[in-house]
Amino acid sequence: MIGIVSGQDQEENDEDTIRVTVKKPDSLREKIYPRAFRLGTDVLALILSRTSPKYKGWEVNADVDFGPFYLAAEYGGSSRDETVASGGSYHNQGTYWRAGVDINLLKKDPDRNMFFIGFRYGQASFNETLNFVSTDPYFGNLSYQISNPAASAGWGELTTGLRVKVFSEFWMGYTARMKFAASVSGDENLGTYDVPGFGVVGQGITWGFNYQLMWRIRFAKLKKP
Amino acid sequence: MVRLLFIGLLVLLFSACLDDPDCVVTSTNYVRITMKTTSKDPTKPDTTIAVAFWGITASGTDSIFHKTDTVSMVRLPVNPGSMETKFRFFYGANTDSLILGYTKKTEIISPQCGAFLYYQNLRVISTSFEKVTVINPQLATSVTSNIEIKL
Repeated sequence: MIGIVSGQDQEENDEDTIRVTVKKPDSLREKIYPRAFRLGTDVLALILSRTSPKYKGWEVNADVDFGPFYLAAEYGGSSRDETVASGGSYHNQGTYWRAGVDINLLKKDPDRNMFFIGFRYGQASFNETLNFVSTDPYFGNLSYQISNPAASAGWGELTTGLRVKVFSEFWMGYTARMKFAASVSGDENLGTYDVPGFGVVGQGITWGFNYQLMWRIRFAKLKKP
Repeated sequence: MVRLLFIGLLVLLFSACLDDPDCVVTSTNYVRITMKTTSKDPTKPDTTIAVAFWGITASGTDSIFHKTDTVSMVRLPVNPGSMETKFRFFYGANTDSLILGYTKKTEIISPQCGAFLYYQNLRVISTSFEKVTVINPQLATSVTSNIEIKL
């Protein structure tokens, strides 16, 4: 055992008792430096765009491996069309980005597979339009077209998921998201219904799920433990 | 700790499946007006009085509300197609007017429930009554009185 006696260490009343602090070898602590860059896309958004008449969207995601944690960012766009009761319709369209950090809980995996938890801050810029007809017994039928041409929103997310190396530098994974604290600004005449990248606003917390295919580009050769 | 966090996230994830929206609609375009008179004793608050109306008209419609009706509270619709509505009150030998302004905000509760107009920021633009006070500036089914008119 290698011991280093610090300056404060001293003999106490009993001269046989010596306090020592043992410094851990540096090799056990993961150093923080950018090891690799991973770029991918959300396959679910692409499939949903093909199969759902209500949703069109895409999302690219990237992260940088810093060893114990990953800097993550996502950028996407989506549009949503909804038929509203009594012959109304709702449409929105916009782009969004998210940025945050993922912490890998699989610290000793030689392939650097990930089971992670993390957080994100997200922001969206979008426009939305609502058309509907209101019937009043005294004032008759009234048609409304209300727009929110330059709305924006911000929110927070807690994330968890997996990243698994499939072969070479090709990776697959999923991210589950708990989205919360949406703050929307825009025209006061129309209460925002849906924010691209966040979801339906009035529910407080919304949930998201991405299934991602990624390609990894190494910055430096990894030293396997 | 990590295991607990993961289980907690899973529980929250599944609880989201139970989060169906309810069609609870509180929006209304009816303003509730209470008729009051000054108490003879200045130490006592104003008292509610019943007024015998011949009728009340609202701009934007030919309908007459509270026709030959004696009430202390009237419920009148504001015009959804406008940002203000003029009411004319016919009672006894008097005719008084009240112009109310308001803003509208449209919200979608859910695609199944539909879109609804919410009337806010109710204010008195002009009136021939002695005193009109806005008690609650938001029109809602749960509100008991939006305006007090002192006769």
